[in-house]
Amino acid sequence: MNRPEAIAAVLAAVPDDVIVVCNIADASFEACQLNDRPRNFYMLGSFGLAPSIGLGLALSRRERVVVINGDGALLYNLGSLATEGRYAPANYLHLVIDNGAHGATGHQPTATSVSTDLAAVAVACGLSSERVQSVEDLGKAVDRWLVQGGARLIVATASERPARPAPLPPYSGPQIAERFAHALAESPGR
Amino acid sequence: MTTRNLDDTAIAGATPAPSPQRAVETTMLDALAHHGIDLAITVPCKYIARLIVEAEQDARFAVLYPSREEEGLGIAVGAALAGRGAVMLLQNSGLGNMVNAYCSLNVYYGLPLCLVVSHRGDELERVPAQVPMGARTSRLLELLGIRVVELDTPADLPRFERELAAHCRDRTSVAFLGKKTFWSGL
Repeated sequence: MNRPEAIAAVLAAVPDDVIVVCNIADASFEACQLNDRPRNFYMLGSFGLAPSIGLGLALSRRERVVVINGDGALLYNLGSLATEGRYAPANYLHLVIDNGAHGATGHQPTATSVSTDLAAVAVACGLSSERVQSVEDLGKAVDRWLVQGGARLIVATASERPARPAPLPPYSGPQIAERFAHALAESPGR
Repeated sequence: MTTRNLDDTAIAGATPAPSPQRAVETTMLDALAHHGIDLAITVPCKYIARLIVEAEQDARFAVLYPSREEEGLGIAVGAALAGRGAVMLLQNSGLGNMVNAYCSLNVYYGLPLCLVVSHRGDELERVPAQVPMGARTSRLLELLGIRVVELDTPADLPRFERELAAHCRDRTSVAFLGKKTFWSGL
């Protein structure tokens, strides 16, 4: 499994009303290229903050929220897991595509490639968590969460690199924010 | 280690005593609620301890404690995108933890922030390590393009209310910088 395959599987599994927050750089580029939805938020800077933006959304909306994160970005904001476990909104899924590296900057190894077990950290913070190794198992894990709900972390191990880089989204920051907020404003919030 | 914890240990567990007059904190919460702000995100400071306690006890507000300020900024942005008004309550030292996220998220996407900030490290400070950041706080905020509203004493409350209304109307970021002499019970 590589990252774009994992992202395609998640976006194929979620209904249209589900809110999706995409991590900086490649995850946002690939989500936009593979399945551009009005309820996708493409985070192009603010390294580490995708789960925090997702938590703010999950605590403010009734719809389910899926955060597509990376291992490097989660390590950068590891305290976010403590906050997620503390408030534990039942409509919150944090997916970490773990390639053990900073993929966007030259594939430098992260701590997950050596020692850190993010699924175990999540459990210690009060979240439920599971690990998946294949696209099929990832799809099933997302389907299970869609039925069961709960504040959960899924770690999807991505052992292969993408074939080619995806282009940047064809939107500016304000365009992304306005389209996204407008899509949410079409249905009642809480 | 942050200097915030060192100084606050001395008053750990202390709840600010109620004031016979109407406290500035009560008026601030009324103004925030009036403008539809119902989420208070805080990394605490003892100067704003009463504000946080009152928000906790006020059914109009949900109070959220992120692990650090940058994370709180992300939560505030998520809430704003959801159509919900949020305010961050923090110490000025925490502004330094938000700089990149503020530029690449709030500025780039056009999403303003409302900050209520305790101003440590001024001439009234007793913890020397607070002073370097205290001396740079206003210039840092100006460099970031955040409007600075200094609150020196309770007499500045009408400015708070005016500038909060302007923030909500104009959708511009604002930082209310409250000096030790502004807050209750210090």
